[in-house]
Amino acid sequence: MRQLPLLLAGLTLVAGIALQPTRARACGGFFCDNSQPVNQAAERIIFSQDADGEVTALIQIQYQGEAERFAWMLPVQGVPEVGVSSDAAFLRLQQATNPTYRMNVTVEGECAEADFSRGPFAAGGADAGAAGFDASAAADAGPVAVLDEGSVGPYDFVIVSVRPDTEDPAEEAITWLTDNGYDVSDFGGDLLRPYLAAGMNLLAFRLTKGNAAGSIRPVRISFGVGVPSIPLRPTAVAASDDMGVLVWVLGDHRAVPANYRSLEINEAILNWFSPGSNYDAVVTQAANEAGGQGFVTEMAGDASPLEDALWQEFEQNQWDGIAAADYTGRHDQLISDSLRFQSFDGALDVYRRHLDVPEGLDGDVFYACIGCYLDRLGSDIEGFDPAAFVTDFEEGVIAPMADTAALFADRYVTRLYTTMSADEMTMDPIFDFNQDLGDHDRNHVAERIIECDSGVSQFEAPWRTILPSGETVRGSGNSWPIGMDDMPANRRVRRVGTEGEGEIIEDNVASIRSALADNNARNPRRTFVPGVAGGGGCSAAGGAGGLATLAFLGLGLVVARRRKAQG
Amino acid sequence: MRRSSATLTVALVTLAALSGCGEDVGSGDASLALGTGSWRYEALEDGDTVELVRGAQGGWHVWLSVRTRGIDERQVVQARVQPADESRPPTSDDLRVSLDPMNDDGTRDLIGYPLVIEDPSCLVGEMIRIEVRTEVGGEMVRTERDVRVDGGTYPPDPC
Repeated sequence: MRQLPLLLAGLTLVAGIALQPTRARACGGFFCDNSQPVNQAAERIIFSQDADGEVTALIQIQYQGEAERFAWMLPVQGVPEVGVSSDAAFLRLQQATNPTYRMNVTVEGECAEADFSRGPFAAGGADAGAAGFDASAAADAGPVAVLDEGSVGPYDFVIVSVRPDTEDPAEEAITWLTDNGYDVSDFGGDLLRPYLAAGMNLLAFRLTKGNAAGSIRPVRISFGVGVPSIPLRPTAVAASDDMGVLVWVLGDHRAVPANYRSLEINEAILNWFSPGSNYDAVVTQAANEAGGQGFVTEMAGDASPLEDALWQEFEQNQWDGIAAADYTGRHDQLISDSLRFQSFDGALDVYRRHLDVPEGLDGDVFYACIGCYLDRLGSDIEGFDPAAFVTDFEEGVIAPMADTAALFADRYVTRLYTTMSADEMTMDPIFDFNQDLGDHDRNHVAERIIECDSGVSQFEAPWRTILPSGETVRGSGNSWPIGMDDMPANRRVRRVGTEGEGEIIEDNVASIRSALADNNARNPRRTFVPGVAGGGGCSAAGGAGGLATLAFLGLGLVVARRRKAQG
Repeated sequence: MRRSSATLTVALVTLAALSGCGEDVGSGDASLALGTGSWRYEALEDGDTVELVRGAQGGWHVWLSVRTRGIDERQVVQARVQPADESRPPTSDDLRVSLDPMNDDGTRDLIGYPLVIEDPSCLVGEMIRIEVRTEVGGEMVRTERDVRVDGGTYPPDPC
């Protein structure tokens, strides 16, 4: 089955395609730490509005399929500047800004020793510690005019406009692009028409001949002055259910989803023992309950520290050293030194352009481990131009990382996340800035106090957890007592503009507190009466079963040691 | 706050109707009132100003908000825009937007639709006509306003 790129931001279009473009990524790539809930398959985009109001978008493209069939389109106004960025930058950015949820655990009293044969450990219950048509250009042409074209990174691109008086501009555009090697024949015209009707142009990408699908990397598009916007509507055709949309917005102040709802999730339904297990589901439910069009602000604050997180000073120093060195007669050393950047986007393409496969080796084997075959390359590689290699590496590998990082200097960053299904992609989200809103910490810490007594093990004992919002959740053992359907997924839903804190259009605090009160009544603190028959004489309306005997009081020392360790 | 805003809006819409400005066509209890605003409904009257916003990949739009009554959730509302002098044919866009929770007066708002304006350079300072319409029970419900275009923070190059 054919698959076209799912572009979040933009547009892709695809018709009749089952499109769940999942570029295979090992868990080692993104965080798999359970305290950092991450949607591996989310669409990602970075918007930067600089001090002059110029907006640049970095869009990650996900695609799985044949290189020859790759095509990607975006409606644009005028003729934007086009470049490439780096998946490695997105990876580092995501790691540096992921929200975290963890519980600090303290133990009150002294618990009985756990009966490991019964369960909590056996069950795997781990404790959580942690411009319009250019008539002049088309005067002697057909209905489609080429406004710009060229190559950037692994891509060829073209920007076209369509005469507005054409009977069907969308079909004309699709036909023209297909005829000119941009295989968009599967794209339907319906989703393009509103954009073309508004006088917008089409920016299309394809892979330059010879590049593999693995060369696909984020694109960088500079739109000129304005505010960031995601052309989400055309994506509907290609969207999977509850597709993650992850956006970083850089600007002078905190960004707000100007025409989408701002969601404050109800952290009581998050499974604090395993936040990664249902965070995405909580956001999805929150967005659905808010009409399908809302964003959760995951973090907001000074962006400057992220500049170094994306591209570290020592890396720049390393590259500067390579670029300044004389590698005459030391070609293998240059290759070896450059390998420290081999995981960055574009590196493999540079190696392929400059290094021939040693005789007798398979190309895939060689390029997968160039460092393994340095001795086969030798110190004086025939036809190898060190200066050209360095220039190519600089432009294709180093600069996209450094330039992406530079966007974060002296800016403010807001990370927003939501999930959307096709039927919810009816309006393009647009982001604006609000100087009255403060920072938003990505780290969320709850305090769980285990209420021990000698009649129950620490792992079965009742506990109370004080959420960051101040509410208390009571439970026992190692399972979170609140289910997804027990209460609203939004604590509050707001409409927020460029000033003030916005207007609350849905406030669920009272109902959440009421539901928590019911839950907590079902999970009361135990009343322990030593010496009473029935396994130690505990009583607990919540029925913390499996009471231990007084013989286990000796566990106190063990508990004390654990507590120290957790502290 | 929402109640007072809604009350003001109803009053303004009523005044507009009495003064003959714009045109509102309802069907039974269903009605549409035309407004602007990205994050809250701000009623529009004939002669009001709407600001161009540069956001749609470098394109320009105006914020369209609609206060609805008796309109089903997810009802398709068609928005049309053209120069008020009708020198160009209208462009139209189908809005399928979820409505906010009900206001105290029983209305529900569709907030912050970016209505893209084609070739805005020549429209700055000029009047445009914005119309929204939908069909309820086989009858057309519609309203329109003639408003003046302001260039906004990032105005297009002069015409």
